[in-house]
Amino acid sequence: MPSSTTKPEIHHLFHAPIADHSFSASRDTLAVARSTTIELYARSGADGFRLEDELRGHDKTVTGVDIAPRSGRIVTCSQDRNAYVWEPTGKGGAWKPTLVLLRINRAATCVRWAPNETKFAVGSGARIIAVCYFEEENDWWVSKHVKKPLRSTVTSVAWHPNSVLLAAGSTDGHARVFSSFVKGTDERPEASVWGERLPFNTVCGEYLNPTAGWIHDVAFSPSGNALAFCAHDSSVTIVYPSSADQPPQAVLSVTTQLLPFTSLLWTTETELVAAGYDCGVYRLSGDTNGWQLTGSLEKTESSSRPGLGEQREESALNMFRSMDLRGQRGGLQEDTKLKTTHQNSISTLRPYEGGLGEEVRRISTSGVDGRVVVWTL
Amino acid sequence: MSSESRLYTFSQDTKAALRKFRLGTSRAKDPQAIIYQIDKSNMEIKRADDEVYTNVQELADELPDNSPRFVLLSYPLTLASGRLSVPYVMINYLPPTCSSEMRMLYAGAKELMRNQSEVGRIIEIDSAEDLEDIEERLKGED
Repeated sequence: MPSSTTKPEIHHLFHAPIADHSFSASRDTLAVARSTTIELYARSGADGFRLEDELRGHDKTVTGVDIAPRSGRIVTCSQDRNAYVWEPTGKGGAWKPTLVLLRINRAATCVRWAPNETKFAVGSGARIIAVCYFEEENDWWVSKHVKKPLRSTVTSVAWHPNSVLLAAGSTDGHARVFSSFVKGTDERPEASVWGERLPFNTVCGEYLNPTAGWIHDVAFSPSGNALAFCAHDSSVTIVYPSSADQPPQAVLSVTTQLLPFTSLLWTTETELVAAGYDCGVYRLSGDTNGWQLTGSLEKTESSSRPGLGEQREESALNMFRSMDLRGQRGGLQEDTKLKTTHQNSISTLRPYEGGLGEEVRRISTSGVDGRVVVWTL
Repeated sequence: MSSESRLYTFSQDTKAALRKFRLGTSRAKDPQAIIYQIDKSNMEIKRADDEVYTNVQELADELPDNSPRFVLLSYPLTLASGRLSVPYVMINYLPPTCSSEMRMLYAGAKELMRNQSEVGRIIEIDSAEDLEDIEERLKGED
């Protein structure tokens, strides 16, 4: 696979880690979790972002942000065990927060809106996933708990396109698929490879990472008929279920020599992109017969080095000067900067262009270095 | 107590029905239960529906997941000593998922409801499943 020829759009927002980021549907607003606040950036100029608003409300670090594409509502969750739903109030710019009582006694770790935007799921360190929906009768967000058989912190949640099935990765080494069907809010989903009659908290599938490594991220394929998860043993596993009570059609694992991935995303039914502690984005591709790592999105060294003018010339003066001042052999600045675009690990991968049934053509990443980068695949 | 009676109201019909229920159920052979709710718009305490439940399971199914309710229950028991007793109690059903507003609404009306319905005691439950061992609770506390 050729790496991208279009340069990635880099936005170095600040010098602090970004726990999670989310773009609005029009991609003109970017919400970024920074310590205890959420900063909202608006596009300004050709390709810059300007700080527009700050959502304050959480007492502790914000761990998850998600903007619902159609309604524009923002849901955030934090280590203070709460979640807020922020509603836009017209052109005034002010956002109205509504506290959602999750009833958990540990930090919330991740939050995502369901595709139908009437529910959202919050993973937590309390070994519980809180599925929250709005009850009209009481004018209140109610949270229902998915408890069994989670045995440790939930690190990530992902929704199936039907808004009923929910995948969760946990530090107990398992990736699981649950039904989060809520009577009254959801319509009965069509039968799928994951099962038919699915009351709340039914476990439709439970997959163990063989080394029991922590699962960092889970994702359903665009059709919902396959599940991918990445674990701390540097592996990516893809599961193709056959039907509710049968063993899966295929469980394929790709182990890489790279550092573990923290986030992954399906671009098509047969392609994945993943990013993690190596600070770069990698592609994987395959199908029910097998998967393999196909390449990186970074421009490789050999293609960028000759005469592109980005490296400084190694003059003898610079070389001896750096040896004298810094004790470094070689005058190039490379020892202080990573060769990758991100200068620290990547924590979140999101689709930027495409997704929701279409092939993903551009993705956005954010990481511990405070950068948000938009890549073209 | 009087401040609550200024806030919550009972219609005459409801008061009469409460009286009739209390007096009429002591001779019944099976449990009798009526669900009461508070109408938020006019703060009136009234019946949730027109049914008298004789089956604890049906009663448990009828209770909403996320809203509190008051249930007046008359339950015939045969005690260990052989004595027949028909305790008349109020069940304060308060699920943990209900909003604080609803909680306060029902908490304020609890004592008023107790006095108006003249029940023996109040039992607190927080989920419909707790109704299943209502019999043990009634026996145990006698």
